[in-house]
Amino acid sequence: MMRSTETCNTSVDNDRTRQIQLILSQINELPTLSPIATRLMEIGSDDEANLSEITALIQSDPALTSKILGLCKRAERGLGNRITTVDQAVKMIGLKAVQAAVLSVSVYELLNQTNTKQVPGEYQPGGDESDRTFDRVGFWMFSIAVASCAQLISQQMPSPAPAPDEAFVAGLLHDLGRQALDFVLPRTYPRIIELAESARLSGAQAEQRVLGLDHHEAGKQLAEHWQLPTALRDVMWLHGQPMDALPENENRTLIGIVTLAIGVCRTIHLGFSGDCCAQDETKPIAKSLGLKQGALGRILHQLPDIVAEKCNSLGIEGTTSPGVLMNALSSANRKLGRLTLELNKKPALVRTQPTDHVSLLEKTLSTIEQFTELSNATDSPVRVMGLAGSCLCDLLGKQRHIGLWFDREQSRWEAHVLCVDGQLKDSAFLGPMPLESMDQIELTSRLLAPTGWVQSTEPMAVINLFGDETEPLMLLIRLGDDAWDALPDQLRDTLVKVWAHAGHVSLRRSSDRRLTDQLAASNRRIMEVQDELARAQSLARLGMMASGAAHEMNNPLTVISGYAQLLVDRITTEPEAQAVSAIVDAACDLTDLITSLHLLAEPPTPNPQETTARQIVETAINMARSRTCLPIDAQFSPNDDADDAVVCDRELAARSLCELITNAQDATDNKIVQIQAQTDHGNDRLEFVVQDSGSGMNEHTLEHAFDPFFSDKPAGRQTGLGLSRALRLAQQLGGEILLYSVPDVGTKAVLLLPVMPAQSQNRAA
Amino acid sequence: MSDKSHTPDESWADKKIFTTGEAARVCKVSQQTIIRCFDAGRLAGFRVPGSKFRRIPREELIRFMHDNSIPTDLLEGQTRRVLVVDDDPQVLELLVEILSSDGRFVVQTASTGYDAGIMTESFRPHLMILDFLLPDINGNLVCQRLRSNPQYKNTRVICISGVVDEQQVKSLIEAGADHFLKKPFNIRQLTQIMTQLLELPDNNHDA
Repeated sequence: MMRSTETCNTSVDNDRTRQIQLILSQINELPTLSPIATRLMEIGSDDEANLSEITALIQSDPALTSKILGLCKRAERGLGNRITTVDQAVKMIGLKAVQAAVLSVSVYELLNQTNTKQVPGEYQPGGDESDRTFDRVGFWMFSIAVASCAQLISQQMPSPAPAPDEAFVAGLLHDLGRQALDFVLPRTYPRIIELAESARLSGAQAEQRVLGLDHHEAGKQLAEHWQLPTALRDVMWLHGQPMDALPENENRTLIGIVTLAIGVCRTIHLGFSGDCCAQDETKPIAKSLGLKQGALGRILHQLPDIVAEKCNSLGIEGTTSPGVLMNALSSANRKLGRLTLELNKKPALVRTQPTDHVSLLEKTLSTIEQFTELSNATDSPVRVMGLAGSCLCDLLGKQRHIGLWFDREQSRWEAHVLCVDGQLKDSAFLGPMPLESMDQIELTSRLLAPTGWVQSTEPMAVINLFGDETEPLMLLIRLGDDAWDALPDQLRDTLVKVWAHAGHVSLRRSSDRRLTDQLAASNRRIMEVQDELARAQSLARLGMMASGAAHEMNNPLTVISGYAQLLVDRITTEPEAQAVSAIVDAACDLTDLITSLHLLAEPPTPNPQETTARQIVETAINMARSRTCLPIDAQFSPNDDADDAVVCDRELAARSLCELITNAQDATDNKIVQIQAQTDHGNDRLEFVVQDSGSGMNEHTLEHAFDPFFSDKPAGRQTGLGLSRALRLAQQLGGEILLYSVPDVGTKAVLLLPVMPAQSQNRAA
Repeated sequence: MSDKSHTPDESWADKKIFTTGEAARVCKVSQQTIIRCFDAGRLAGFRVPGSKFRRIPREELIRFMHDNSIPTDLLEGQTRRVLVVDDDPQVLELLVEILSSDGRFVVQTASTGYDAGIMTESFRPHLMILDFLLPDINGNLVCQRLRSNPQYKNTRVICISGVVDEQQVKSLIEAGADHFLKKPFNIRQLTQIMTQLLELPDNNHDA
C-alpha cells in the first residue's frame, strides 16, 4: 500500500520520464547508416593507402557515386566539370570532403526511405490536416540551405576555421533530431508543429511542452546511435545556443557557424525551419565568429544558387535558383497569411469601445513592433524597462515611469526613473525586501517610499514584467493616470507577454554576465597566484641549490684561490705571475656568482636606519665603481628634497640601485648614465630614476628582463643576474622597479622604495 | 720590539710551576713584588711541603698577569699556537701551508668539533680558525663551549664559511667569535686579522 501511494504522488513525473525513455529507445532502434557510410567514417583521413578502398566502396553503389560527384562538383572553386570519377573526386577535393558528401547523402536517403516506408502503415493521413504535417521537403530544403550557408560562412571566416565541408555536413544534419522525432512519433509530431505555430513557440519549446524532450536531445541520441563524430553530435545537440554559453566546448566555433546559418536561412525563409518565434540574432554571432562586415551580405547573395545546386544533387526535385527564391517567398507568404488570420480573429477579443478598438489594436501592434525593433537579446533589464516605458508613453500618453528590478546576485532592488526616450533620469539601490504576503502595489509603495519619487495621492499602475504574483522580479510602474488599467485585458496581456520575454532574457543575461565576469576575475586571480607560486617555488629551489652549491663549491674554490695566492708571492717571472693572478680573480668571480644566487633566493633582512636619497645614490655609485672594471660615468642630478632624512635600509637600497647603474652603464657603451633622486613625502617613498641612452630593449627582452640569467647579450658575456638581483632587493624593501625602454633610444629604470618619515624632522632645504 | 735578553724560551712555554724568581722575570717585576703579592693573596700558589719556598702554578700566574695587564708574550713565547678546524682536508692543508710559511705560528689541525675540543685541552691554542659547517656540531656550538670555560676566554676565534648567511654570522658573533671570513679568503687579509687579534708586531715577511 505504501508503495502505491508513493507512486501515485509522482505518477505524473514518472509518466513523463517513461515517455522520454520510450522515445529515446525508439530512436536507438532506427536503422543504422549504410555499411559504406559507416566504413567511410572509420577510415583515417591521412592514410594514403585507404584512397583506393574508399574509391572502390563508393563505386560499388552507382546511385551514391552519381550523387557524390554531383555534390563534389563545385565544392572547390575553379574545378568546373573536370571531376568525373570518384577517384578524381577523392584526389582533388580531399578525403574529408568526400567523407562529408557520403555522410550527407547516406543520412538523407536513409531517413527519407524509412519515412516513406513507415508512414503508410502507422499514419492515417487526414485530409484537413495535410497542410499541417511535417513538411519533409521543406525540412530538407532548410537543412540544405543551412548547410550551404554554413559552408559559405566557414569560407569567409578568418583562420583557423572549421573546414567548409565539415561545416556543410554539420549544417545539413543539425536538425536530424526533428526527423528522428517525426519518425518515432509520426502522429504526434505534426501536432507539435501546430502548437508551435499557434502559440508562437520555437520548435524546441513546443516539443518540450508536449514530449518533455526536444529535438536537440533527440539529435544527440541519434548521433550517438549512429556513432557520428563528436563535432556533429555537439552541433545536433547544442545548435542555437549563444556561443558565450559554450566556452568549454571544443566545437563551439562549428556550433556558432551552424547557429548563424540557421539564423540567416530563417530570415530569408529558405525552407521550413519548424520554429515560429524567430529572432534576428545573426549579427552578434557573426561578430563573435570574426566575420567581416558585409560578409553576411555576400553570403545571402550567393546562397540561392548554391542551395538549388545542392538540392538537385541530393535529388530534391524542381529546385532551380529562382525556384529556391520562389519557395522562400511562398513560405514567407504562408507565414504572413497565418499572422493575418490570427489578427483577424483578435478583434473579436476586444469588445470594449467597438469604434476605437481597431485603432487601439493597431496602435498596440505598432507599439509591439516598435518594441521588438528596438530591443535585442543583449539588453540590460534597465533598458528593457526603459523601452517598455517609452512604448507606454507612445500608446497611452506621456507620464512618469519607474522601473524596479530585483538583482538576485546582489540581493537588492534597483529602482530607476525612466524618461520618455527610455533613458535613465535617476536611480537608487533599495536593498532587500521580504516578499511574503505582500501584493505588488504594497511592495512597490514600500520599496519606493524612501526615494520620495511618488506622492501618496498619485494614481499608480504596477505592471509585472517578470516573475509570478508572489515573487515579482521586474516591475514597471506608470504614475499619474489610470490609462493602463483602462486598456482591454487582452491588449494588456499581449503587451506584458512581449515585454516579459525580453525581461526574462535580460535578467538571465545580467546574471550570466556577472557570473562570467566573476569567473573571468577568479580565473585571472588563479593565474596570478599560480604565477606567484611558480616563482616562489623556483626561488625556493634556487635557494636550496645555491646554499648547496655555496658549500660544495666554495671549499674547492678556497683551495684554488688559496694556493694561487701563495704562488703569486713566490713567482717572480711576470707572465706566470699574471696567469696565477687571473686564477685568483676567476675564483673570486665564481664565489660572487654563488653569493648572488644565494642572495636572490634568500635576500637579507632589511635593517632600516636614517638616511637620505643622496646618501643612497652616492653609496650606490661607489659600490658600482668598486665592483666592476667598467668606468662608471654617472651624472647625479638630485632634487631639492634629496637631502631630506628618511628611514630606509641604505645598504640594501644602494645595492639595488647599484645593479641598475651597472646595468645601464653596460648598455650605453660608456656614455653617461643619468641618475635622479627625489623624496616623495606625500607617498612616503623614494624615487630613483636611472636613465641611459643605450641600445634599449625590445618587448621580448623587456618581458624577461628580471629573469635570472636572462641576457640579450651573447651567452657568457655577463651573468644576467643584475636586474633580478635589483628587483629582489627592492622587493625585500617593499619596493618595485619599473622599466621603460625604447629600442635604440634607451632605457629608463625607476626604483620606488617605501620609506618611513625620519624621527628627527631636520629636513635640509 | 721584543726584549733580546728574553728570547722565546721553550722551558717557560712548557713550564707548569714557577718560582717567585722565574715569575718576576716573566712579569718583568722584582722578586720582592711577586713575594708581596703572593703573601697578600693576590697571586695564588702554594709552599713546598716542609719548606717556605713559594711555588706558583702556571694558570695562576697567567691569571695574575692578565689581572694586572702584564703582557704574557714572554711566558707564551713569540710563536702563537693556532688550531685550524675544518672537515675538508685540502682546506686544512692549505691553511697549514699558509700559516707555517708565515713563520710566527705553530699549527695543529682538527676535522670535527669533537677533535677541536680535545685539541683545545692539550694544545691550548691562542687562536682557532673554525669552519662553520662541521660534520658533528656547528662552529657556533664549538665557539660557545670554548667561551663557557674561563680558561679559554682569551682564545681568539676566526670563523670561516662558504655559506654566507646573515643568521649564521650573527649566531657566530653571539657565540663569541672574534671575526668572520668568507671562503675563499684573501690570505693577506687572514694574516692581518690574525696579527691584530693576537696583538702581534707586524713583522712578517710581507711587511
